[in-house]
Amino acid sequence: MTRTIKVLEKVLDANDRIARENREVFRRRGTMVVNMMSGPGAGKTSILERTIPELALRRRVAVIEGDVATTADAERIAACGVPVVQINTENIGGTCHLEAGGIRDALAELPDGIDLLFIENVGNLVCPAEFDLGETARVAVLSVTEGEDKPIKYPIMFRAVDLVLLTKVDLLPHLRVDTARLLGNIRQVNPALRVVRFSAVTGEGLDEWLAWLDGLALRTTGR
Amino acid sequence: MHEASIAAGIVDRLAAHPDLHGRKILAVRMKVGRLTTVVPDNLRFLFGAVAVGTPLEGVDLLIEEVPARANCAACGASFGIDGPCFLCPECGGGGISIESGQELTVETVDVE
Repeated sequence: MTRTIKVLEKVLDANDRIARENREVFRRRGTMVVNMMSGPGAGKTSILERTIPELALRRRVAVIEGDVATTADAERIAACGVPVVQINTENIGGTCHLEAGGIRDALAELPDGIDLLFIENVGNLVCPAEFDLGETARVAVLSVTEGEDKPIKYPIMFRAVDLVLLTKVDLLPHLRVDTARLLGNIRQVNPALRVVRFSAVTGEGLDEWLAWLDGLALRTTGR
Repeated sequence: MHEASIAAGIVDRLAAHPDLHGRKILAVRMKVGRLTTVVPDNLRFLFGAVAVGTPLEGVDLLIEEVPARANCAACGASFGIDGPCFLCPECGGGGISIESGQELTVETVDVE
């Protein structure tokens, strides 16, 4: 005779529980946390290299780098003079995304008193969106070299973030990308999503991006 | 895309679940929403592979795929979401709330 046992558990419960604990740790420490996600090579590290020198003048910044392998990105961030921890997911089963447990472990290696923590996620437009890390806000980095269709191919990602940095706009004269159509695709997937045009090379959008971060900090940690 | 670690997580969780201890497991029933990144066929296949050598070996993973539905805050319309358009089909508004399609849950287990 068959009996039915109720389980009623979300598969991501274990991750989400740790994410809530992370969020509480960040709140107690007054740390604002920004989870940066994108496809591979969109320009997350370059954005951080451009942003950190400006930010570090008035905030204590740190970075957690997530990659399948190599410490290449962490080395670039270290050259900016801020604390950085590299997570290589190949050491924890080769996952294509960061999880709350990895962030919790990385926190132990960061100094106290961090105001703003950037988490540079593994380059992947699919999975990272589903894993709450305990962050304050999420940013998707999309480069104009990726064409118009990423938002409609990866709607879950573009609905999971609070801001899009549309980057590498300095290359627009050399591209045939239809930015109006790209923005239209973002609007149809997530109409309220703010888009900031950005270039790590020319600095376009840097002021707007910094202002967004300042606004977020004021709303969350009050400073 | 990460169905392997999800499958392993389900196997580990059920193998250690207090209500299932000592019982012969016949089937596991799950809900997977259309708005998750999980592909049910992949998950079924990988569950079978990961379960070998555990109390879940040979157990069927039965997946109910939940369609994506939303409500419009502006005009009250209720509608399904099939493609990458999250605007209200009635009024074109963007203030929608997702009612279903984001599920990723182990619902029940059939035991002898």
